[in-house]
Amino acid sequence: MLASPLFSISQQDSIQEVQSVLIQRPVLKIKPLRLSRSSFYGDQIQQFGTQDAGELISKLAGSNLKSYGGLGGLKTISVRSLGGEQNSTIIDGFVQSNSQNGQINFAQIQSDNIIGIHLSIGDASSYLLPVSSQMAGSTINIQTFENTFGYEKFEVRSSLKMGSFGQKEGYIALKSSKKKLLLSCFGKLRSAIGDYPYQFQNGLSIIDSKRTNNGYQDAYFGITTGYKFKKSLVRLGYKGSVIDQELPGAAILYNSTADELLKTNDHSFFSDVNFDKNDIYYRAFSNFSANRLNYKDPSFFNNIGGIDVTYINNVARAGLSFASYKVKKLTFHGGFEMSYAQLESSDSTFSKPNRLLSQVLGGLDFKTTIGVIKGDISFVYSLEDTKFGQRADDVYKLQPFLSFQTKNFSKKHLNFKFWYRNSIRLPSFNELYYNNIGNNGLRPEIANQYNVGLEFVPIEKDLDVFIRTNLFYNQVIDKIMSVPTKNLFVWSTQNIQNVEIYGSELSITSSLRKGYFTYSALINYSYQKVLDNTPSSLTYKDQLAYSPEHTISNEVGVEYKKSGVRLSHSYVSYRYALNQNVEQNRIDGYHLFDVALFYNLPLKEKNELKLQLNIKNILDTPYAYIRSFVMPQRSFIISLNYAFR
Amino acid sequence: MRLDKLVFIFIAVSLLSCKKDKEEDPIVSNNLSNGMVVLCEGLFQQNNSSLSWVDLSSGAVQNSFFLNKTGRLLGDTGNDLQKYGSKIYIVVNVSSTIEVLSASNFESIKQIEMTNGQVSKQPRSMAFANGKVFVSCYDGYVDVIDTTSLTVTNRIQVGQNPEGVTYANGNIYVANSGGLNFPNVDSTLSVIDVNSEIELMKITVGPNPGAVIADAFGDVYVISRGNYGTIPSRLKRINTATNTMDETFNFDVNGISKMNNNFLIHDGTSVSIFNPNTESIENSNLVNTSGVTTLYHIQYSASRDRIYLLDAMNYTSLGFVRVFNSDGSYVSSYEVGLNPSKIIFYD
Repeated sequence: MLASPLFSISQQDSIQEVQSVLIQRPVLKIKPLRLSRSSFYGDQIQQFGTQDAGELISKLAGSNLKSYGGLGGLKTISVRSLGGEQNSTIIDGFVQSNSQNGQINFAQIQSDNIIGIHLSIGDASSYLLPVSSQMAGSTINIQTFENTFGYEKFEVRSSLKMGSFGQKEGYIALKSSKKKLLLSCFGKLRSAIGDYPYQFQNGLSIIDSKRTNNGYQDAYFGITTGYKFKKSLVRLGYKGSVIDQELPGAAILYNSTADELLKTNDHSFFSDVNFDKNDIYYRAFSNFSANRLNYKDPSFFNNIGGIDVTYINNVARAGLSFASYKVKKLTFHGGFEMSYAQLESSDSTFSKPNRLLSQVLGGLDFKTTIGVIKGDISFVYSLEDTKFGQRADDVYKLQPFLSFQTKNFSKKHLNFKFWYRNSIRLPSFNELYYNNIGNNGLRPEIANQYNVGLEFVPIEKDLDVFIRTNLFYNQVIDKIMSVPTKNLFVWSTQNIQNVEIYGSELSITSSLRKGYFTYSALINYSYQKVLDNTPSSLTYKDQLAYSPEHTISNEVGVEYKKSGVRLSHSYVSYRYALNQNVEQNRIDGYHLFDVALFYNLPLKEKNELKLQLNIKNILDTPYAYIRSFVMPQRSFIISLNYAFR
Repeated sequence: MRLDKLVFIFIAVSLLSCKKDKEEDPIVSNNLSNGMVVLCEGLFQQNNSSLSWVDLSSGAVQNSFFLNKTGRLLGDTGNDLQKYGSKIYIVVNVSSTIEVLSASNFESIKQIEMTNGQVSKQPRSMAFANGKVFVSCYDGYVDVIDTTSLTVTNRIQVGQNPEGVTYANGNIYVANSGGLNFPNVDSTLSVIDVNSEIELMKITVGPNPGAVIADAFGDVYVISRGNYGTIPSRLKRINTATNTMDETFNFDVNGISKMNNNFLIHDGTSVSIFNPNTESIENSNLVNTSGVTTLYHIQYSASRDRIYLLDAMNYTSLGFVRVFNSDGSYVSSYEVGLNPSKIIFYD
């Protein structure tokens, strides 16, 4: 139903987009491409054998992963080089946020339970998502097994994993949702010793060393209930995590000492109600999250014998979104959202800030004979306060969005799309108030994105081929960065630069089913110039740090009856560790190859048991996303996945 | 058909890209004469501390001088570079090492690991006396290294996060900054007897002491850096005969270096000559620093009678050595590594 016609723009599609927040999609043979959107689903996600959501997102076109460590270390994502803070991350329809540092650590979002993941750039992936995500520069939308209504009376999803560096994982989720009642729960434990060997180019020689103080012990858990009424649907749930990890820090030449520790506790309560009346769909939601972070550095040479600091970040959020299909050819949508965030700290010098954020959005889709014109206007108002110290200025800003997407031009489903989005990102609490680094005079960072793209289906028979390409141009005004100001050791956050980004993306997916064979392939290529566009800057027109010009992510999979193999390749071209484009700052590019082998063991109907072996970095390539933060070389994970449907 | 062509043209445009070739470090003569070795600190966690060799006859600069001489990298955050006897000593703070090299050809003699069990000592700066190196370490100690065996022979506990260190009148003077307790910094200067290697006393000199330097008349001068805001940085004079702080000079000072029997001082924007004999500033605007972006350090070469201003630019771009005659007139500039901080001259 969803696949035919693949690219038509109809009211039905819009409603399905609306419902996708809540209801598990049926598994499709062919996954449709969407302009401005990349997706992975179901088995494909499982076959990747990713350790967390960060690794998974890095395979989506347009994303760029920054990983500060191979196991459990910080992972952030930037989309089209706009910076992680310009991105909104949604899990099951609820915004994930961290007002302390403004970025989501994707290493702390598990991937075992993900049944769908989408990266939308420019365009909102659903009008029933919180309006803050519809206003963002891009959105990562994750659907989990536990929190979506399914099609089976009772389902089980579980896995046991063991891997290199002492990695052990156990995950189980139970769900009942055939009838009106949804009941689900899940739990996951994982641990690792984490010490992994690495090679490091030290001048003319390669040194072998081991990354230490890299272990972790995590627990994730949650429970959800929901109910389908005649014309409405309600969900209520809780999820939490306790993460206890060692921090290996950077790999420093001649110095392997490391003893920093980080403990993170997250508790999140969420609820929403969805209903429709007279062809108007509504979603009201609320969620509350409490994040407690404790950082210890026992060998920091202060007079109290080290650092032991705790931060508590609470965020409450509520909102309403709606989409009206009452008028033929017109879709009205909009909503509002309010959030209150506060940060407490055991650090007496921290200002203990809070922020009341209000966001409103209204938009209109108009269907013409040749395509759809979409536009919206949103308003953000941020009210800042602190318990002591000077507070930052309030922020209020209008943000427009405009797009035009054609209907199919030919039998090859050719579509063009043009869009423009203006978005802002507010400075985080750390950027505004953190000791000497914070700067309460910061202005919001503004991004203007322009995009033109096309998609088409050159072949559509036994062999299906989909092609999508985008050209984009982005401007970032008042980019927020931390830079040394008084000396090497006194850094401060500044609105330092204007940035100009232009580039292109190409995605090709293909699939072929012949007899017992199923073949699938995916090619993602991205080219980006990310230039310092501040004439007074010392690095004017230089490519910004950690912005590779070329990134490639390729996947090839072959399945025969109950077994299959998948080869993944990724390439990140050379980039610079600092903004100045000189040889001293250059970091070489790298190719990575991963292999997954899997076999579905024969079991009775409704039972699925899959044995899977993932070999990562099979060529044992030494590499690092961030200079000095060396990544693991060849490693393996063997997993046993059981599902009951 | 037309549409297909249009599509492929669109894709071709999308895939336009350029490839950049690697830049090569210029090859220059390694003859260690008529030049200078510049320690460039690099940036924290980048492992990019380096030495630059500047050939003053040709103007050529080799920014991988340490790598080319030793075949390996210097490490992370080099903080001090000094010559003592026939050896060169380099303090590398975050790597927690002391590199010892031959002063004649810069071949590596030894790398001394500065760790205490599993904890880095974080060495910061050095002074030399009686055939020993006295190394201030951020863990609150001064390590004593024998220059013959090149081993640590003693650890002397001092104040918090010691930084600048100098020798005068039979004692080692160590500035205890307490920088890691900011804003509750230390404000003392430790006095260590060179022979007994015992801390004799602490002298209160003012908040956040950093650089320490001895004059030709037996006094020691220390910069109390304040809090980089409401409390200004000040130069203090210590009488080494009585080990008392005798005077505070009421002008801003960020850096200090010897210039024959005088001192060159700077406040970040202007360079002056301070006469320790008369205890007065003799030339308050010696050098026109309008071409200097960030005045990071200052040095004087007596044999060349020239002033060298080390320009850190924005701390994340390659730095410059700006050369001036002793009358303040501009001579030349050399682009070196990241955050240049110390120079050793070769005549």
